Amino acid sequence: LKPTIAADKWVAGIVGLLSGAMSAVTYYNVRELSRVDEPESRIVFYYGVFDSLGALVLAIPFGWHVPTSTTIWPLLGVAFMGTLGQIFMTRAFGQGKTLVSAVLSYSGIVFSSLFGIWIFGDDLPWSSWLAIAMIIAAGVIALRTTSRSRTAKR
Amino acid sequence: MLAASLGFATMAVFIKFGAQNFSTAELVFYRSALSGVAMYAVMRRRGISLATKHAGMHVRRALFSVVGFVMFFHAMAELPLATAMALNYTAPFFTVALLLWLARERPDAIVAVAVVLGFSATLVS
Repeated sequence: LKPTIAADKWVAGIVGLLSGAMSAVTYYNVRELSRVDEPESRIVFYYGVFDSLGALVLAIPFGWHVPTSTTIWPLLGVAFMGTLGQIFMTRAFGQGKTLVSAVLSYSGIVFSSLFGIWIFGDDLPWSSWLAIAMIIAAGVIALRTTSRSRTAKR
Repeated sequence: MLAASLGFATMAVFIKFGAQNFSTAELVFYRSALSGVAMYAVMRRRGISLATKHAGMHVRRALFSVVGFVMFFHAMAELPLATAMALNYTAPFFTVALLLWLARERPDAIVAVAVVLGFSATLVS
């Protein structure tokens, strides 16, 4: 991603860093909800209710755009894929090893890069391919340790 | 988690198309609204009640994710996209910190290496 930051944007930088911290808190909260045996569907349900209310409040100042028959398709895609992602994320942090799931979240960069090539015709520089290899390596390392500790327990 | 990432990456493609006509908050609204409606249907079907003994935990989970996406959007608006994304991808480091602090769980050294490797990749990419 080659991040750069202007000197006067340090507040936004801290806010961005805190957004990463908030993601971590979300992972942790999902894990805790699973540990007290809350069903996955209920976890995603309450997330959906509260987050849609939050988003509604935030959306209104920017003006509400009523979907038309041509603009509705991306909305359906966002909603459907976002919901699927949310369900799988809840399962990963509920049942999987927390940190292994966190490492596997880097695979998002791999998928986005591949979509960039396929859908938007992006030309990936060699550094992006290196990053993809690193993310796959990180995932394999993280997954191998889980399967090893599982065998050890048996 | 791989399936989750694939879902979110596909969602991001639709966001690119949807952003031409809708604000990001609207897109988040539709996503969360469908999650709520779809899960309500699943719960009805499976006979899972809406009642919970852990309302506080649900509120906390939702609150932090709303605050998180507001912060992420603010960062995306103010900073180069790559920077905002990289900052958000620091999440696994905070996960390590939370596990140490709240759960007293020491991360496996090899998994910690994987976290560093994964994050370095976001910087290289």
